Amino acid sequence: MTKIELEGVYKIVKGVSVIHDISMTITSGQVTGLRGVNGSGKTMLMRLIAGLILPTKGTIKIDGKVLGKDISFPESIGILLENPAFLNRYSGFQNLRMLASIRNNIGDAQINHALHTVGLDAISSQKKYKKYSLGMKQRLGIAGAIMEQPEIVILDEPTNSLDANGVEQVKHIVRHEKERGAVVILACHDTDILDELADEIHYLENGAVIQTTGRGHQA
Amino acid sequence: MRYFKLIKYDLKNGFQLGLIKLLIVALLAIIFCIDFYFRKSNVYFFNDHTPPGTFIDYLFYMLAGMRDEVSAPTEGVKWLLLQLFILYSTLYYPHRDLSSLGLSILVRTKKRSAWWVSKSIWIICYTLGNYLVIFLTVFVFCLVMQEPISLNITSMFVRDILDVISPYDTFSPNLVYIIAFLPMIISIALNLFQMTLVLFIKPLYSFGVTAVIILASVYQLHPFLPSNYAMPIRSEYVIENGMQASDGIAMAICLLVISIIVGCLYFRHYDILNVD
Repeated sequence: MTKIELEGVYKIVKGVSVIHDISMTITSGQVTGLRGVNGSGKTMLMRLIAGLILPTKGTIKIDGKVLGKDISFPESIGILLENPAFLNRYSGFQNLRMLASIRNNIGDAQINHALHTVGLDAISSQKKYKKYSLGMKQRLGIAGAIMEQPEIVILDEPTNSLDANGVEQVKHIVRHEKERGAVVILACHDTDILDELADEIHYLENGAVIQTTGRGHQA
Repeated sequence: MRYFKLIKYDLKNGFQLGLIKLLIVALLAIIFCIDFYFRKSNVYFFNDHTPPGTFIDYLFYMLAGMRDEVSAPTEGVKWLLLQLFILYSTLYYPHRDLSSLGLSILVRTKKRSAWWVSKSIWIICYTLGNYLVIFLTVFVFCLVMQEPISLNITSMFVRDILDVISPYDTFSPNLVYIIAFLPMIISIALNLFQMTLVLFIKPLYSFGVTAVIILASVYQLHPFLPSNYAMPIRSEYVIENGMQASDGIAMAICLLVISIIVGCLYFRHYDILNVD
């Protein structure tokens, strides 16, 4: 059971407050949605939870360990942040294999399964990444985030550039990740998707949570 | 184990991305070899035959640097071009890797310090690679042109072609080590310094600052300007009161160690935002 705790988190970048006094607790088997206009702080919050940036004030704990102090990054995390980026000269499969080789806890079969799950067939997964369409790049990014079955899955605008079929696949993936007990943090412009998938939705404005809806909260 | 995989990733990926730049270094080396070959033909035009240039003569010509009193702005352009190009060739990889697959790899590696050390190792290896390319190019050129593959420095080239007034008739064998290693060691230290600087300022500014340090060395013979040691022509073995190799090595090691440690400590709290 994974637990993420944010306590009075502030982030100031170049003198501008981009995250303002955010406190929340996220636990396993829960889909947490982040909603807000561009620049409201969704991606910054995700980067903070991923350990890519550190709070100016406040703490982020993953299973009781303080990010930036006890650990640099969460032990088991898969992330898709904005535009996924891979190496152009390798195929989608090769890119994922290179990523997987670092943790070395999955083999080719699991990589292929992840590619299949996001709708990249055997032929397209062998194509060079530079020949991928935007939608295919997005699918590969999602596959990279989920292939190792991490305890925390962060998906920032996962439906960008996807067709209707792709959006349905994302929904299926999010539900599956929730069922297997992962912490899923999802930011999406499409309000219907968030309403459908998220157990709890945090509304962000100017870096602050102005409202939380969902289980145990009143709209 | 993850640490070694990270190093393997950086070496493979960094060298693949930098392959064209290594080829450009080889091309520059060929041009400078041809330049030396024809310059000695011109200088000794009235001799019965042009004296052969050894492997180390070609390297010396290429990596000599500029005399301490610069007579023409074009003097030592070869040295400057090589130094700046090698500096530029390591500028973007570490930074841009964070907007590519490197971001996901960093998160999987779990340790920020491991990422920094791995990038430092890449910088060291890639800079060594640049010099290896230069050495190999000169070696092949000498083979093709049937010039002697030898480490004997020809004194008259230093006087007639490099235009140096030296108190020595023959040069110490130590000068060979200085030609072969000091420019390389100083290059490594400056490249690491540049990488650390990128954490504080934009990459292009970091290149600019480091380039200014190199340029300042050209016009100022000063023991605290590191690139002075990267110019064998200013060595204690060539001119009177020249730069001491031991000081150069000490300065390079200090710069290298400080750059890696400062970078490593700073990167532990560095915000990985969007890379432009």
